[in-house]
Order: sequence, then C-alpha cells, then structure tokens
Amino acid sequence: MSGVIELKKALKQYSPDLLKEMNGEIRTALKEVTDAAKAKVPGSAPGGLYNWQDDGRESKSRTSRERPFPKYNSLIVRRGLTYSLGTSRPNSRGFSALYSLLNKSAVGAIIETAGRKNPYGSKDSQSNNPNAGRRFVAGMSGVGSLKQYSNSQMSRGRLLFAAYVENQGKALDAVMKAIDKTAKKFNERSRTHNERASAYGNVA
Amino acid sequence: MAMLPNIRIDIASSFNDKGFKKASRSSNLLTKQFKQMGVALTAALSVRSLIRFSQTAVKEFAADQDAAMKLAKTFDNLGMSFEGAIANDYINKLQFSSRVADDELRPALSQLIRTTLDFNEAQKILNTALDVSAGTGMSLESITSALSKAYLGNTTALGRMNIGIGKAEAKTISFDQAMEKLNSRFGGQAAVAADTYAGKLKLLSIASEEARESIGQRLVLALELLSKDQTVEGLADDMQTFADKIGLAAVGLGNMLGILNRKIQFGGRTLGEILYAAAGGGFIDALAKLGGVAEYTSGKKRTLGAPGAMQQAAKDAAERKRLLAEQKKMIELEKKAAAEKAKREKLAAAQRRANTIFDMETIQIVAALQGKVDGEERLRLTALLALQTQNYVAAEKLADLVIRLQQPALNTLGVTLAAGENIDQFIVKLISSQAKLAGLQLMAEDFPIPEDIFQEWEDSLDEVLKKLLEMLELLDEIAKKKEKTGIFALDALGFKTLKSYQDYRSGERAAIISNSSVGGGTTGTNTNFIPSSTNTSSTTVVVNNAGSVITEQDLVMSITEAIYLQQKAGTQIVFSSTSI
Repeated sequence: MSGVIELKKALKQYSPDLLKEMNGEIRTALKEVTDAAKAKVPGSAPGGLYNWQDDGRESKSRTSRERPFPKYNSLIVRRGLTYSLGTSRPNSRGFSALYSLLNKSAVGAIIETAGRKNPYGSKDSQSNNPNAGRRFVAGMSGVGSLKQYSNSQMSRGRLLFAAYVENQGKALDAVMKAIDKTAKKFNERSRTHNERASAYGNVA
Repeated sequence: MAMLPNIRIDIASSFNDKGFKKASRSSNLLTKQFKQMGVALTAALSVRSLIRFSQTAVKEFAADQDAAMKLAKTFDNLGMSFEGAIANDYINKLQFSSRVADDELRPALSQLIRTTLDFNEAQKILNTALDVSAGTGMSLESITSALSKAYLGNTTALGRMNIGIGKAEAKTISFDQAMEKLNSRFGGQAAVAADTYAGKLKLLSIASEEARESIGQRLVLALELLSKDQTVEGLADDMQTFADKIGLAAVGLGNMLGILNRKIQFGGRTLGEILYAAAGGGFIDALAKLGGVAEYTSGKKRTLGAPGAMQQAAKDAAERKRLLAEQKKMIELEKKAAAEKAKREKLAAAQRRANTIFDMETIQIVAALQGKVDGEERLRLTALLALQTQNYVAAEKLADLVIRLQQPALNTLGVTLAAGENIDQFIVKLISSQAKLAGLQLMAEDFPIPEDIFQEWEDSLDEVLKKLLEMLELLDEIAKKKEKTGIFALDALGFKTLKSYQDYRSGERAAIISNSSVGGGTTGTNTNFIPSSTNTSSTTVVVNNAGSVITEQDLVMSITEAIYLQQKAGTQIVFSSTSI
C-alpha cells in the first residue's frame, strides 16, 4: 500500500479508531488557521463602506449583470472560512488535494482577493464613480494587507491566505506528522497482527 | 453556497495516476481495434498530440452541445420548438458572419427570446446588440441584458452604459426610440469589425473551434458505436473521465478523416490522396458516408423533428400568437382605463363647477355684487367669486388689480409694487415692511422716557443761578461793591428774590441794574436790558452812563454779564457798534 489515499481507505476499513485520531489531529491544526482567518473578519463593513452592510433588504443588480453584488455580512464570511478533510478530484495534472482550507462565500472571496489584479480599480467597472474600485480596495486595507504564501500570484489574499502565511507552515507540519504517526501505528498493528496470525497458524 | 475553487489552500496533495492508467488501457484497446480494421496508422503519428487534441475536441463538443440543448429547451418552454431548431442553425451561421463565438450568441439569444417571446424581434435586437458591442467594445452579454430590460420598460440600464443615451434621456425614452438611436449610431459596426484583421483572425478561431466541436461530436459517436451499448452513460459518469477515454481512444472515425486529409507528404502527394488512389478513389468518401449513415441511424444528428413535430409546432405557434394577442388586449384595456379615468376627472371638475350655483357663499357673493358697491369692492367680490368657483387664474388677476389700486396706501407702509411683480412678491414685501415696523416699535418701547424732559434742565439752571448768586455775594463782600442784579427781582417788600428761568422764557427779562461803581466811583453806570416787546428773542442793551464814569473793567464786566444772561435765556445776540 502506498499513498495517503490508500492509507485512508485502509484505515477506514481496518482501523477506524486510528483514522478518527488522525482526523482529529489534522482538524485541530487546520482549525487554527481558519480561526485566525475568522478573527480577521470585521464585524461590520470595513473601510467606512457602510452602505455595503447587509441590512436584510434584497439587493438588486445595478449593472448589466443579473446577479447583484453581494452585501457584507460577517456571519456569512466567517461561515465560509472552513476546511475539508476529504480528497479532492484530480486536477489536470493528476494531483488530488488530501486536505484543504477553503473560503467558500462570495463576499469572503471578494474581501480575500480585492485589489489583487487591479489595485486601483478595473477600467471595465460599470460604476458611475470612476474611483469606486480604488475606494473599495482602499477600504479593504481595514481588514489587512494582501499576503502571499507561495510563488503564484493566485496565492495572495488577506483572509485565509494571510492566516496561512502567519501560521508559518505549522498546520502543514502538523498534518504531515499526524499522517506519519498514524501510518506508523497502522503498520505496527498490521505487523503485530501478522505475527500473531502466523503464530496461531504454527500452533494449529 | 457555490464553491470558488481558486480560494482554497490545498494541504498535502498526492498524485493520482488512475486517469493515466485508464488512458493507457484505452489506447491499447484502440490499437487492437485498428488492427482488426486492417489499418495501422497510429505508428506514423504522435499519440500524445492526438490525445490532447481529442480531449479538447470532446470537451468543446460537450460544452457546445450543452449550450445548444439549453437554447432548445428555452424555446420548448416558450412553445417555440420549431423556431428552436432554426435558432441553432441561425447561430451557427451568425457566428461566422459576425465573428462572435456561438457560446456568446446562444445565451444572448436565449435571454432575448425569454424577454420578447418573438424570434424575429429577438433577432433584430441581437443584431443591434452585435453592432453596439462592436462599436463600443462592451460585452455582448451586458448590452443584451440592458436591451432586454429596456424592452420590458426599464430603460435606465441604457443610460448607465455610455452608448450615447444619457441618464435623463434614458428615463423618458421609449424602447423603439432607443433602438432607432442605437441603429443610427452603431449600424454596420459588426460588419466593419468582421472585415478587420482582428475579425478575420477571430473567424479562423471560430472555424477551428467548430471543427474541434464537430470532431469531438463524432468521436463521441464513434466510441458509442464501438462500445456496443450506444449510450454515453454506459461509458462514464462524468465528462472528465469520458474525455480521458475518448482522448486516449484517439482515433475515432471522424478524427481519422481529419488526419487523413492533413498534408503529410509522401513523394509530393498527401497521405489522403495516396489512400484515396490506393483504395480506388472512394475510400475517404466511403468512410465519410459510412460515418454519416451511422450518425443518422443512431439518431444523434439534429433534425427538424420526428413525425407530428410540424403539427405540434403549429399548435405551439398558435398558442404563442394567442398569448401575444392577450398581451396586446391587456395593453389596450389599460389604455382605455386611463382614458376613462381622465374623462371621469373632467366630469367631476365640471360637476364641481356646476355645484357652485347651489353654494350659499357663492350666492351671497353674487347678491353682494348686484348691490351698490364701489369699484374696488366690486373687484374684491369678483375675486372671491372666482376663488369659490376654483377659477384660480382669474382670481389671481383680480387680486393683482385690487392690490395695484391700493398702491397709495401701501406706499405709506413703505411697500412699493414694481411693474411685473405678482401677488406673492407683493405679500412678501408687505410682510417684510410690517415686520421692520413692528421691530422698530418694539425697540422704541424699550427707550426710557422721562416725565418732563425740560424740568431737569430748568432745575439745573436754577442751581447754576444760585451758584452765581453766591459768587456775586462773595464778590460784594470782598470788594464792597453794590449788587449787580439782573437775576434778582424785588418782591413786594423790596427784598430780592431769585427769578426762575421760566420768567426768562416767558419773555420777562430781569433788568440788570448796576448800582455799584467798580473801581471806587461814587455813582454807577446803568446798564439796562430792554426786552423787545414784539420779538422776545431779541433784547437791546442800552448803556447809560450816568453819574461818574466807571472804570473800563466795570463796564466790560457789566456788559458781559448782561450778554451771558441773555444767551442763557436763549436770546440771539447780534453785535453792532455805534460810534458816539
């Protein structure tokens, strides 16, 4: 057996307690990152953008797009900052993620990535105010600055990505250690079981 | 909540070679099948590029088919199935003429169909949208959305788009006017853009996409035929795995046709030509025919419909006509209702006017007019009558006349009505002047007013005279001179008394008799003040020098004192000299 995916399958079948223990440790490590990201979410719309605050009224699209711009709701943002212990589908290069940290909500994604591509606003903006984009990005500075955790520009963000950068690899380290520890324990159990089985066989 | 795949951090990825293993197995399977067909062409070609090409082709076909089915479903839902079949062909042709890909055209047409319920109308609006998009560079989606909203009456979206219709204009303009404006401004832009170099490149891109989609479609069909159960669902659950299989299968019937026609030369002739010649000229055509037959018999080719479809389409068209007619009827009814409402309001106004003849106040005004009233009162009464009958224009004019008649009285109040000023302005002026007057009155009330303003003055003058008397007494005592009185009067007993200032004011002047000789003379000089009987404000001073001559100093003093006293009394002093 090789690979974490096969390990997880084997644990599920033969040692569910070890799987539960491993998942618990991994969950603790990932929760630290998501909690740190949730702590960065302000209670009300940041940067003085008070009209962006969700007041319960249905919003309408003010542009040619059908979907209206999502209103700021800190509960929704926090709820969208989560993690997944399941294996993802393979990407085009054949790689699957074993565990993931996610920022699922639309408004959370907006806060995470605002200003990443156009720090001074996009020229394709449909707003009547030419400085709307700049104002919005400037308002996001109240949440935090964009931080990058890898070489890719797509890994810049101010919520989840920033929390991951600040975590300084501790979560990844903890996940690897948990997998390694569990694998060792599983292998130890398997060896002990085999030894006993062969001992019983000899006796028989 | 929809997952946004790029806002994620993957912890601990692992490589999954399941797909690659499947690809390898499928490739082996296809190789065997080719050997069964007796053609070993894969040795001459790169398998990897075929795999990649086929994967892309199948994916694009799948996406295109999905979009086409969605458009067809939209038409079906609106009862326009017949037009739905035509629409896809229309889109396929339009993408080549307009250089806009079908994956942009289909959603736009779908939105317009849902809005207009009319294929011809949707086509017209789509053409306009293509022109505007080519002319402004804005996306077809945004323009189509704005035009859809405008069709339904919400034209404000057009004002926000910077396409030559301002915000204020957008609120009042109708949809037909907006379309006319856009067509006049941007008409023909799409055709111009298509002729540019960029347009031609786009055409090539669209053509290659279509080719890939077509190949992809046939790859799917080929695999279905090869798999014997003839359904996509029988091969894989999702398009990713399906595309892997198809890609790795690589050489389906249609892909082989495309490859055969590439220019791979042997001795100056293409591979296709060689095989064509080797197989007696009919190999490629025969294969293509076979492919066409297989496609038709499998029922996957898009046709205009099975038996009964025409009748159903006719029924749907009739239903749609009925819906449109109902919609028109509703609009007519609304117009009628609005006209009825206007008529009723007119009648109500007429009724109100008619009722005024029974109104007691009106009757009294009319009765008063018949009586003896002057011009101004008549004007006032007529204005009141106009108000009662709600004839406000006439009432205003009459009121204006009344006010102008009152102009002299108003002038005294400090209000002047200029030419051209109306009643409102007059009332403002009147209020302003009255307010100033009231303010002045309030200020004046705060001033302290004494009971008799002259009493204190008289009292103080009496005090001054008293002091002068004391000074003179003192002088007498010092110089042992005779009293100089002018300010004293002799009472009945011959005692001197101080005259009051009132006596001076009333014209009784005290005679200043100087009995003293200043400087030691035995007799004095008489200096008399003879008040003028006619003019109490003037007094002639006569200096009679009787007796011994007094010193110059005494004379000057005497005259000076007399002058001061007269001045105090308010008498004008005129100096003149007469030489003696």
